[in-house]
Amino acid sequence: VKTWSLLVWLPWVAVVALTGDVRADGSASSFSDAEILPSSGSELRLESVMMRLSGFEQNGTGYQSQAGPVLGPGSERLTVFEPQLEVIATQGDRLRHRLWLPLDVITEASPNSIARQRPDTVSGASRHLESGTIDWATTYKQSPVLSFLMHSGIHLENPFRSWNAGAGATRAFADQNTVVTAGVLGVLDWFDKFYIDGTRHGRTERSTTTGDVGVTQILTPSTVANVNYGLSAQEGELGNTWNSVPLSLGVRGPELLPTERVRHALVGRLAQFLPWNGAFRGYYRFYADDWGIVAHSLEGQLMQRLTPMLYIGGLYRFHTQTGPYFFTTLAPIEATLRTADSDLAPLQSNTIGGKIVGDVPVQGLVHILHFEVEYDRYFRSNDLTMNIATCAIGLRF
Amino acid sequence: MMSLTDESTDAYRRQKVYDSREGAAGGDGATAGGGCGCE
Repeated sequence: VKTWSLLVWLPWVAVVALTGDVRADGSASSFSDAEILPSSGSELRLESVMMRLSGFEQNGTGYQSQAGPVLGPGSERLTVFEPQLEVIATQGDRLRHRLWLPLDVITEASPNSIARQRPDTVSGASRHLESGTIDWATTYKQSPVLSFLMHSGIHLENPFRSWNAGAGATRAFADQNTVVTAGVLGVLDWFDKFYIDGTRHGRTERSTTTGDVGVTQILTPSTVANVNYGLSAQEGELGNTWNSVPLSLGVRGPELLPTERVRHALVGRLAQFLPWNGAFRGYYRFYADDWGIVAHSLEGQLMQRLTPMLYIGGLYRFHTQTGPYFFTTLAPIEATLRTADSDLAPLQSNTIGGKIVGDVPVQGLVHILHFEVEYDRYFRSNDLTMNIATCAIGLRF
Repeated sequence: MMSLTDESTDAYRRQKVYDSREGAAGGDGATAGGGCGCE
């Protein structure tokens, strides 16, 4: 009900903002923003508001799911409905705030099948789950070439709490042609622990610490490149606790994972303007961790401007990964580490997508009305597909 | 169009698919922690 009320609310925000300067006599306002809003140097000034609505529909099977035969793969059917709101405001000349509120409404076949065997109110709640995040980031511009970022957030859902906080810095060199960034982020997750029959066994937690450093370089007047390296260290319960593993005895047992994980990722990005009013965006990511997963992801986006206000884009992404050394679809009973999670299996995935994006100049309080419509199709080599549709409305003041 | 990355809310919803459906999340500035029922 809350989500649908948001759907009704979003278009009205756009309408009210677009007509913000209409007067009783019908004439347009002749006052500038600066004349209407006196500047004292510290007041909040709205820069943009972005509202996005996404829907995910997933189908497929995985051996961790109990929504199927005892030893066979079970259903991974999942639907997610996800509204997001992002507000960006400046405060004087030096401070910039970003407030971001994503929500998720999820229904999922796998926990649903657990609750059917032994219903309880907590795991029952996770069959149909609502979650939300409040995330606030502030950037302080120390000088034209040096900025600092502070970031904090809280995530709430029925059986899950998560807190995060981080800090970072950005330094520009060579007349802003080179930008170096560095940051750290800590996350603490605190969540219900279930056995695979749906019974609850108190609470458990995990922590994640991430550090990253990157360089962005303007290579030519029409080419920008970025390289970023990141390291994450995790400790605690690293699974969702209700995933199961088929055992050679003909029954299912719980997933058994290590309690530590160290992850490395190296990312390269490239943006190239094309002379026919188009642009190419390339992305490559190498990933390795101490569970034995090695992954490569390659993505390309082509965009073509059709009119000064409208462009279209197409996307293709390919991903391949190895599995952890303890991945199995039928584990011996004596195995001390085991997972049958299809997300951790050796796999290849593909994403294809297309979008239409518009930026329409308007008169009044709002200067630009931004809109996007996009569809992506995600499909994996181990029986999983996803349809993703998203649309967004943005107001730039 | 010439940005190196997608608009932030678009990047989030796309990255969420990859982070939750592929065992290779995190390590590049995005958190590998956090969570939701779709994990």
